[in-house]
Amino acid sequence: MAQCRIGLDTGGTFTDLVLWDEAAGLRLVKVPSTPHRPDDAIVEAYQRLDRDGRDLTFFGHGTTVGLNALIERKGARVGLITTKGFRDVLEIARFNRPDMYNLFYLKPRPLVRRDMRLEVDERVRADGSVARALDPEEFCSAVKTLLDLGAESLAVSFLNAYANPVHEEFAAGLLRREFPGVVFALSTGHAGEWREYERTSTAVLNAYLAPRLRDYVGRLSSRLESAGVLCDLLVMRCDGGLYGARAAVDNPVSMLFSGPAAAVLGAARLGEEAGRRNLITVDIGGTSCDVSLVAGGDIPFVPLKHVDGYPVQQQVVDVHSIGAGGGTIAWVDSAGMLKVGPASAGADPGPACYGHGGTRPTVTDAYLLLGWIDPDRFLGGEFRLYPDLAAQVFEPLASGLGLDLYQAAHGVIRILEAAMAAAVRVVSVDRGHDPRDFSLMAFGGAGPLHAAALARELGAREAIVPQHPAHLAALGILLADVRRTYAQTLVRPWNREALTEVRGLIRRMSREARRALRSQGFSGPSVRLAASIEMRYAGQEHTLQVGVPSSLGEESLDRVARRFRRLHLRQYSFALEDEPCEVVAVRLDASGLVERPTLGRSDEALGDDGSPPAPRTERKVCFVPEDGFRTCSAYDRASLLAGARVQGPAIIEEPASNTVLPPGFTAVVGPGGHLFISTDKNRR
Amino acid sequence: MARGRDLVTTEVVSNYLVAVADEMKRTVVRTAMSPVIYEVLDFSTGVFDRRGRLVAQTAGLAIFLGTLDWAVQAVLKKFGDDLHPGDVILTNDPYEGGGTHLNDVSVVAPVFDAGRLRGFVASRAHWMDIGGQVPLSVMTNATEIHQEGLLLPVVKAYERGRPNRQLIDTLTANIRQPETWKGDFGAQLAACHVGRRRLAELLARYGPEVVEDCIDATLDATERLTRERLEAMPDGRYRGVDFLDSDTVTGSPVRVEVAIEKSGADVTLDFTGSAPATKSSYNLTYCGLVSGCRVLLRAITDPHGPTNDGCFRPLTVKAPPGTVVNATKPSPVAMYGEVARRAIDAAWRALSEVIPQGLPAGHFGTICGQCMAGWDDRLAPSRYTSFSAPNGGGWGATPDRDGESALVCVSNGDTRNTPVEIIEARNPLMVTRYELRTDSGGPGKYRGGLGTTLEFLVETGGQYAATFAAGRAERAAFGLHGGRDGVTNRVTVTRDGKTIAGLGRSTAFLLEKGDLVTVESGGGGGWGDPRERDPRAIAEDVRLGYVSPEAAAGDYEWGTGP
Repeated sequence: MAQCRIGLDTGGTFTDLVLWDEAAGLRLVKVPSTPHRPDDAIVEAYQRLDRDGRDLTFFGHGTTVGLNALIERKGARVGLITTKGFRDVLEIARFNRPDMYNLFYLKPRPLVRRDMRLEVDERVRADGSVARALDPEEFCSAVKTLLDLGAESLAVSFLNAYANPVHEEFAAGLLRREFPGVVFALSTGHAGEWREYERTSTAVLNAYLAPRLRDYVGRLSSRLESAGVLCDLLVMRCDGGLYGARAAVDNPVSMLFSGPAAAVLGAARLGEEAGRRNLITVDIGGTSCDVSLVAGGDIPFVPLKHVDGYPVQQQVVDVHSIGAGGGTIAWVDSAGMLKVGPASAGADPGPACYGHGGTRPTVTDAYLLLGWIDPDRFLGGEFRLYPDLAAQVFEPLASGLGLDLYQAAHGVIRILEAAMAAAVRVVSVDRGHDPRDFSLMAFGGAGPLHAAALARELGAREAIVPQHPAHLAALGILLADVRRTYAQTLVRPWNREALTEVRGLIRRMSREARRALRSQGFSGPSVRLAASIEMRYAGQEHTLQVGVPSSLGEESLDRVARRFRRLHLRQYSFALEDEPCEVVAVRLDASGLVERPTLGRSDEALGDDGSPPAPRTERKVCFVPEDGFRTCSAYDRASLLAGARVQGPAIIEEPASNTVLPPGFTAVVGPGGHLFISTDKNRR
Repeated sequence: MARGRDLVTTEVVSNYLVAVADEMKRTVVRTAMSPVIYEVLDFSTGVFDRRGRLVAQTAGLAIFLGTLDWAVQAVLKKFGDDLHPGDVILTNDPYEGGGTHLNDVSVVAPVFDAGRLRGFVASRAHWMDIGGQVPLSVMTNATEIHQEGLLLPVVKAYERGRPNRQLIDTLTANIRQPETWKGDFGAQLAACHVGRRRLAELLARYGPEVVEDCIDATLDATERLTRERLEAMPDGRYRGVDFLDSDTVTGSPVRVEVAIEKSGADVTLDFTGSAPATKSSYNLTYCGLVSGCRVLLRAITDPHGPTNDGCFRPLTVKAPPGTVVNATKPSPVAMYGEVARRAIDAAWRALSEVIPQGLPAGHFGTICGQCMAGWDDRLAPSRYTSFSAPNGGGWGATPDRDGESALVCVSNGDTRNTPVEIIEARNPLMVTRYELRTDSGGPGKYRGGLGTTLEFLVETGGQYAATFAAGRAERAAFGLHGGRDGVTNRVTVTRDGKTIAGLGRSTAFLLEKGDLVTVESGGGGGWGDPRERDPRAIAEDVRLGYVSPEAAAGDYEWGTGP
């Protein structure tokens, strides 16, 4: 049967759909998001395709439903059950004041009020032994009290459960038996690492979001079904894998960062296709710039992330975000210094040039003033922009600084780009990677405007603007594998006994993984398992993840330790040769490899007659203020054939984005139809 | 003053410098060995110009940051021209070297461009141990500095990139748990290494002259901003007094007094009238005092803006040498932080009259820390363990809301607790409860925030001892504008059913297996007359257990009316 697949990402502003039909190729749809009922936009986007859904084999979906519910504090009324003496862990948090000079600092409010936090007299020790057994009657009576108080869902978090989850599992059994239908989350359900506050917070967030997500997924599934979609709905999670929708709602926090994760994944896949396995990814939208780094084709992960102030213990694609995007506001502080961000004009009112009442100068206004975007062709011409309004809001900023309009606009962009470059340094040089070994892939609506400049600023090998840069998250979903991840804390000195234990654990996890993936139709060569262990020097807290062969023979003992020391040296500039190291956790990543469409534009289809590309038009653009405005060519990206070479200064336009090519840069339409921009090393 | 496009370069360069300090911080967190550094974050990093002026810093430990430039200047003073690429200098000298107490060691590295000194990067971290009379080197009862540990009088640990073996061997021989120390020191070195490289890259890119112009412009801008805020406050002379808990030697409370002279865009804090230095570890040296004053100055002028040398130019601090706030050698200083917080509180009280909307009521005001160390005899062979961490407590109510509960004290900023699960995994202790302390918040129209109760059961029969640093055990956090005081900090040990109280200042108190150690942090002060409190808020407090029905009846006449 011909493959026919859909990847769909719900973003804050737009809902993007990508359809890949083996017979007919790629189709893109963009519709405005409907935050209060996100499924409306999804169904709308699907119906725009106007086709029969019976041949669909795959419907993958990334959602911000959980994030919105959290930000708007519209989650469930949660009841929390903890170990006796520890119900306030959630409210004490870590007691730090990151805003260190602010005497009026407030922590994020706990999502469960104190009267909804009950304790039971159980206790597990740090070594996993049981000091006091859980009394089922006491537990059930706590549950009953919470339900009587109106709890819509429950979270259970016991101290030291990371070392032995026996009491949490017992509690889960009781809940299923005595209170069928009650939604609950365990602290060890999906996370299971130490630090009671972070683990409790994760469980609480899961309980807080589960009922909302359950409703949403149920509603969406049935609406898509009645619209003719018969295949299973898959959901993107923050580890970059796809999960059956019903399995995903058991762990809602895993869906919180699915959009950025999908975009990084999409970038990595496109890069791989184009022979680029070392990538710095820069995703610039209206309000934020999300950067990540893919080394050797590996997607990077972190074990903990904060969302709206609350910690989440979860393997998350490591994306570093700063408040810098098209809507970011420029301002002058009272000491007369020019500042950019982090505040954004958002979607409403948006930048002044939108004509929706924005009164403060934004980055998009600067683009317009410099001629980087064409007021008549923004979003394919569906959306008119007003240069005079941009000039109007920039005028006071510029005159206050003693600058002309264009110097001010350019200054704003320089400051913005420096902040973006600093963000890239956090994920690259900071972690021992040299940007010169990487290609910088820029996407999102505003990414291609900065691709060339950022690559030069960082000394990256080249810049890449992928095909469909404003649809990359949806593309990433289309290209994702079905995943399962397993983790187990195991703190041991790294020696022969530990090796045997680790090997046993990996075997057990592998068996489980194969079984789980088989039930989703994956077996044999379509199953990929990758084992790793987290290591550190004895006494250190933070760990490095070291890949290990699943066979893990005796020879691995030294080899793994050496690999760890090398990693440590590279990342932290020192290694302790004689210090013993230890294993902290064992991980297994299992993937069911989805047959992947090749998305790159087929070169043959378009042909290449070798003639230089023809610009659509010419217009005046300012790249550097010293040069003023100069006439340059504007190209329609769709008209550039494979192998086409465009010399800067130039602008390459497409409906949802523009690529800015300053003087001294060359863009080539390369493998897959992506733009490969080489930085001219002789220019600064 | 920079104009036009220079402003853009200035913003780019100054943001870059902050990013350097941030990167140094992340490096320390990822590589350190001690929970007090990677978990508690008891350290700070900063970037300095060639004159030793603070240019950029990270969010971290506020009280450290205000003194790090003194350490850099001490390096300049001592070594002057004798600084070379690859040098790394250590100092913890509280009198001459910009130190606070001996555990806090600054690691300073000069940065060169084309052979010329162009700046410094530095970090200061709490070393778990620096020798001296008790494990962890934290004590309350020293009579001279030499008992408190090794004093490092601005010495080179690396000279032109080569380690000073003599010094490192000496440190290794004197520090308890040297393996851990090596890891922590390695983390500070790694941070210096990273910071030095980044700063050198910046200098190479823009040239030292441009970078220095940008630094000048940045410092001038923050100075202008600070002065502008100060100018908006009423001129005048204001007085504030606070007291340290009774001195262990003389038995009487120790007075800390300040006169604040605010005139135009300048402010002078004069601590004349403060008590003479004590004969115990409760003393502060001048640079720690200045640092405390800087924390408060930032709080009332521009708490969210960048902090650098420019912010502190309007500030003058005076204190007669030999007083508890300007102690001289050989006065011991291990508990410098408690004195610094009393100095801050004295100034806080004075200012609360001037800018009543600008400051909350008083907070629990202490590190309320426990340092526990000794032998875990549950293991064979028994193993030496140690653990040291602060506690959060109640903050004061504000003009429009209740105080926040369980937050670290004013001087400590972004420092965190040690998770109970990490405490238990590494120490012979079982934590029996960690909860908010009911009735600890000061009553008022707006109630003070609550302190916490942290309780440990000692599970080792080996030699095991605890040192506590819980100030404000006699005088609670102050209420303001009719609000009442909070509840004091308190440390007790329960042994064989009997309670041993008043341990908030004990040094190396020997613990026995089965002892129950209870550390209770105080609550914040209230704001406004308790009789004006909204009855619904009182009922809610009782329902949630923040206030007991008995206390509500007593403090707010709750449930006694019609």
